[in-house]
Amino acid sequence: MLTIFVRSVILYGASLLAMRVMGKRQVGQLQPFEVVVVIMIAELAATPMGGVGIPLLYGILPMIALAVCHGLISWACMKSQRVRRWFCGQPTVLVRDGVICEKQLRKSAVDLNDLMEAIRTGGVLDPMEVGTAVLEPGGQISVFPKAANRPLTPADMGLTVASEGLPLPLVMDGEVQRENLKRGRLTEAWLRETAGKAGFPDVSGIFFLCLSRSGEMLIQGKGCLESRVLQVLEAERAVW
Amino acid sequence: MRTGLCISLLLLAATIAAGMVSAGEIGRISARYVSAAEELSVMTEKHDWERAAQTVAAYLDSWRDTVPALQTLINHEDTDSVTLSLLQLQAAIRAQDEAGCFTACAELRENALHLYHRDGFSWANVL
Repeated sequence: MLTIFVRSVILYGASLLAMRVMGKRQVGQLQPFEVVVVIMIAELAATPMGGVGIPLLYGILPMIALAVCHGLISWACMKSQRVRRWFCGQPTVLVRDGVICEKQLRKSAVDLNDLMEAIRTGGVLDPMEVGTAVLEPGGQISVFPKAANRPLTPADMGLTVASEGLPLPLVMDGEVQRENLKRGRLTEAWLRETAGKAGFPDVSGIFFLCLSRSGEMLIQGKGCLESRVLQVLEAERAVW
Repeated sequence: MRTGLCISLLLLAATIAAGMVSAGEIGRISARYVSAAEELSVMTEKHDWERAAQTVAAYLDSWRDTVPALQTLINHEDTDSVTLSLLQLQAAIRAQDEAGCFTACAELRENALHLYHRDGFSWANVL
């Protein structure tokens, strides 16, 4: 029993490693050849898991083969548009300027019900409001409302707004994020002093502390039911 | 992207190298026990039971030392077949059963050959 347990852990680790080596997109949007790889890895890991008589190599070696194939195909897809088209396909426009492209719909084997579902999932209730819908190579349908129906933006109102930029988490579950401190050109001493002024003398008692590009700090302690927002930096200094 | 390509190529090179080395090693082991089967078959023909018993015992000990490492590369069923053949041969030699010895030698020869051919890089295996 222990043997099977340990083998399962090893194969799990090998599967994880294979997925990591193949890149983040494996977990996100999958291209057709990536879907194949994911399914095959699962099957390959399962085969020697329960069979002690089957060497672990019988599961790990095929995973290596898949990782190699995936690496080479991904590289080739990056280098050549033609190769990418062959392996990944091309996006297909299903709705253009509010008109459903029936021919493309049938060619892509997408049912009207699937299209309506995608429209609703895309946040559009009324099909009359849809301007464009695109069937992506990965299989998902992207939906864009007509210009007149999309949400208002500051640009529509002639407003200029400052760029928001990425927030900078500095403490997560009590742990100081030193790389982010470096990124924001801040010191740990400053962090501890600022957290102390906010009522948290001990950083390990902070659940989440995040700095925004406007110089505001969001802080929430462990076990607290509320968070605080404080202005701790001038916006000019909050650059990363 | 380049890192991914380098990793893929490194893995490919390492796998090919490891494959060639392990194939060579398995081939060597397979050939050893094929020749063991032939050697013991000759001893059986000559009714040299004492020498055959010592020889088969030596081969069995050597095989038992080889098996743990071999089982990381080969299915246990295949290695167990060779073990069984050696034990059957040993029993037949002890009983001085000529027909049994020839049968066991033939089984040992085939099972030992199978060790190499099962995973050998050939069109038959690939297809």
